[in-house]
Amino acid sequence: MRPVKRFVSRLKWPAVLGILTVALSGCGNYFSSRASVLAPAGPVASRELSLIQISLYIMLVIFVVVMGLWGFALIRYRARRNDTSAVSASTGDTRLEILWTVVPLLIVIYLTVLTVQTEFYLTRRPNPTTSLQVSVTGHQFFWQFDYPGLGISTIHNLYIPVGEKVNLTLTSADVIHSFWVPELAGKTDAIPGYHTYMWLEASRAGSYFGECAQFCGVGHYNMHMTVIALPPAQFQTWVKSMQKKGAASGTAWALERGPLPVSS
Amino acid sequence: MAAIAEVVGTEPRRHSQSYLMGWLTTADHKRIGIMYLLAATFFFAVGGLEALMIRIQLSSPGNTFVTPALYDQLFTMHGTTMIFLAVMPLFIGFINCIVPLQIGARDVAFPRLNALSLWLFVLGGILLNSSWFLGGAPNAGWFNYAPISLTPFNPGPGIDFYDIGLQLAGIGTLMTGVNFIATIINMRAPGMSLMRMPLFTWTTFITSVLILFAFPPFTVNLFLLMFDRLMGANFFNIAKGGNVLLWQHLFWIFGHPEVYILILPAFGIISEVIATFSRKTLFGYDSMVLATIAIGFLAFTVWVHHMFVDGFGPYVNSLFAITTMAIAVPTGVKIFNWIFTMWGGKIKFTTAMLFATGFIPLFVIGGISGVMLAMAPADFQYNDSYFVVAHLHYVLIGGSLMGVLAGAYYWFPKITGRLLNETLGKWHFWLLMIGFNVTFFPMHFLGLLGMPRRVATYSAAMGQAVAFWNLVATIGAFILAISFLFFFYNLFKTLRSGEQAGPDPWDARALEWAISSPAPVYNFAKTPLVRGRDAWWVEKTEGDGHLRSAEPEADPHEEHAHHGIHMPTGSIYPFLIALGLMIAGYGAIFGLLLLVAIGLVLAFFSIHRMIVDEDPGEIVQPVGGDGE
Amino acid sequence: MIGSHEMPAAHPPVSPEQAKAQDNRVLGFWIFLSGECAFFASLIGTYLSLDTHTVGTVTLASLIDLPLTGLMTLSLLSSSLTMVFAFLAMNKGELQAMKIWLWVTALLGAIFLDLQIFEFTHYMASGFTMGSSASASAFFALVGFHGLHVAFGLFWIISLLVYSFKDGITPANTSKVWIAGLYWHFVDVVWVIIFTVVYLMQKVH
Repeated sequence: MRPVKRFVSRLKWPAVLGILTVALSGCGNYFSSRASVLAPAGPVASRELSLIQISLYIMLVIFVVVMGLWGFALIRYRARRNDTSAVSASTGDTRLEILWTVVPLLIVIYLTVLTVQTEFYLTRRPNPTTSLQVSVTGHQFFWQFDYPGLGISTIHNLYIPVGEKVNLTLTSADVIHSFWVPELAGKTDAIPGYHTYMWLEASRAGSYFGECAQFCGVGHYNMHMTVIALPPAQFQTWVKSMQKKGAASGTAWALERGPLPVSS
Repeated sequence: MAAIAEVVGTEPRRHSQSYLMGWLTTADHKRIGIMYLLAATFFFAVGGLEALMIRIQLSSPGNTFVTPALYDQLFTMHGTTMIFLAVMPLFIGFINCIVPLQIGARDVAFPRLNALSLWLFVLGGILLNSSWFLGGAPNAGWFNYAPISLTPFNPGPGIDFYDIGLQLAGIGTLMTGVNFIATIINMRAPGMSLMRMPLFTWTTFITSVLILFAFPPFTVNLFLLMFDRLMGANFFNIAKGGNVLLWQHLFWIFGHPEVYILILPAFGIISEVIATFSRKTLFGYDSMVLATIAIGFLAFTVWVHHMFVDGFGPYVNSLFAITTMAIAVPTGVKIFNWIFTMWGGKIKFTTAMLFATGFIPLFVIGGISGVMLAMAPADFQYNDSYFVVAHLHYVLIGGSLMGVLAGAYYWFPKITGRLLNETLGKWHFWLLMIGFNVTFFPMHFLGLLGMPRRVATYSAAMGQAVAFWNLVATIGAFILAISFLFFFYNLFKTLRSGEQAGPDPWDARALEWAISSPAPVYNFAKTPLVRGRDAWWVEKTEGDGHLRSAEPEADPHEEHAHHGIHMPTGSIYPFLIALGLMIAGYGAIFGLLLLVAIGLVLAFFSIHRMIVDEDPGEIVQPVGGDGE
Repeated sequence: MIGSHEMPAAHPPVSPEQAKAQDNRVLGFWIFLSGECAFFASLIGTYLSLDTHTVGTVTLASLIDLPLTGLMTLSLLSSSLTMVFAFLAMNKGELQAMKIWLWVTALLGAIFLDLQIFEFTHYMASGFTMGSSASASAFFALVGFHGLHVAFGLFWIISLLVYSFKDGITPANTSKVWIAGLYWHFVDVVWVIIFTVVYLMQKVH
């Protein structure tokens, strides 16, 4: 019984009750968060969301059809008392079987076309000479961003200009991490010994919460970052001020969340 | 165990053997199956408790019920235990108990090898779980990616327990695969042609083939990791030219077929149960068999879909997206065939049938999210988020575990001779359906709301919705756990005072129902002659309700006295091989070379005895009336 | 009911499970060997993906002594031949001849292992060790696992020779020899692949 008691005493009852009260009173919003896939803020995440939506709608239709057949069979063909009729002797029906092989096949082919189109759109790299280049390095347990052309490095915060494609080259200094900013783009892993690529673009200014999505150790849950999208002019101002700060030492470091976290 | 032995203990024992030795040395597939089921149920309970601790920790943001370090061990052991030590051995337990009966065989092709498989699994599982008390459990996830599993990032012994525990259990599973392929090819009764085999036997066959080709890459991978950790090799050490993605490739070349190893037997069980309780033969048998084969083949062509975010580029991702989506087609065929098996039948809603019909919507949801995950660009968002957690639990609980439970309620009378209580069974089913959906459906939302997997906690700043759905999931997990209390109480109660089942309580269709419950040690007094698909149903409807014998008629007064039934005898050496390897495993983990040597000597001495010993077998006299 | 009226001929032996026991072993062993193929395929794949990853340390190509490995190949391949002679003798019921050929097979296998141990110690003395580079790790894993298979084959053949022919050649021990032989030939075939992929290809590079 002791573990049970310990659990009961350790549960944060005020928090639990608070969450339930808010939720049940209908004030809460059940489908929004700080980093929602459902609230894209750039073309990559939008494209991914529309793929998610199309596939979801098709799948819902399939679900309804299958469940309709299933529910009908369960209700109509349940055994009844005093029912002496014989069961169907059917062992198969070639036409039906071809139908439910071919129709799913056609659906799958349609989804495949969508998938391949989106896949090629998302992995088509923007022109490296005209777009911003950032090298992303995952560490246990923080993100480092280097702007090779600009002589700037930051920790935790990735600054990008609004409306421009940003090229990211990812790698890791230790174990595998995964770069995920749900509102801007899906994940790409940062793998030691490899350089992986992705691009993203923010359509409007703002701060976007990001996290490490690949389990990377005891601090994985806390490996966060923020992507700060600034209007192009402000971004240039930021670059200038950073370069001025770093003129003496060579590289400008922006350590905006305090000192480096201790890596274990 | 006593209660089980009471109902199953028909095996003749040599007088010198104690009760315990009888179980340690047995080569009887039914007893081995029961031990698989018991051990796997124990590990299932352990994995379930780990899951509850995970859900308690995540019930509110910033919770400190467990530390992040402990949390990492909990989710690693939860996944590893459920996959390797619970669900797969539960299926292997049913396969052992039932498949030889379904094909009219006296035992499996290699009874002693079967015992070796069992003991490797049991002792490997114990070794893996003993890590909790010997320096900390593994903490790099069930997928155990390099390099976080390597010594620099993980100096404790946990990963070595994972490596050696799974190596032992995995070799046992591989032997099971070999055994059942040979059994199904060679041991079928006369007339049991391939296309007359019950679907559960078919899916066992294909599962065994998957085991045969999927486990060796895993074995190799575990060896490579062991060499890196214990012998200074550099397979995954990039400083010396190693490659961390090598682990991922070898792991998923194993890991994806493993997923089908976990679902195909469930497909077989669902096919048996739905046909029996709809009182109809399976709809589209041929296409069911073809679909099973197709799924088995495609299982080996999709592993990179676990690695869509590794940056392999659009060509590789597109290719593996296509092969993955292709699996939806044969799987869909199966769903429709089950529905049309019920169509036109007379459905009796026993608990077993409730689980089989409940399987369909849950598995369809899991299949749907599976197709969505296969679309690589969408997977960039789903990957490693709670959406995947939702998907895999819909497939593994809604699919595999529902199959296990349908099989449990269906075959429990055949295995023990007693019927599980239907009222408690229905409580179990409805609470499980509610608890399961309340737990796992919200996880789809959590993934889309940006919650990654394997986080020890999350911040309240993620938003109210994340906290709310997490709390809902935790509440659901407790309902799910309560449903299993009904199940365990039902098992306990039934074994003590359950209703006697009789040979054929469900008026079922396959051969296992033609003999007494529990089956006598020799299974069939005379090898049966199979005269059609649904072999027992054919005898009940078109024959005289008795199995025909395939053995030549002899003088009824003399036959038994002179021939009897030749059965394999047990041996202690399978247990000693597994024990020796387990001792050597502990030695390797703790760097004690003497222990390694002692273990290997014991194992090799026992292997040697297995090679040179001849199994003389023993003659068993059938009890009158059985299987006639 | 499909085919329910087909009546198969009902003349199996009196104890079918006994008659099948010998078949089971051979069939089961073939099945096991296909699993072994997957095992070695994984190791060969690992080797091919890492064999150039020497990070500036000693390379295999600089160490390989083709005449030595040629001799190893010769001894192992001729041991397959002597294994065939043992089968032929067994089929004729000549116990002594069979035993002699099995001992010759074991001897050739032992020569192979001895040369391999010599080869490994030489490599390790030259700085090519499990820990020197990923390439070396992959080499020792692949070739070492093959060597362990040869060693297990020796253990097996000698176990049979010492313990299994007390009553002469019987149906039970012929199938044991047959399976041990199957294993031995398989190990040889794997060596041919390793010899090509690991040793000859290094010289091609």
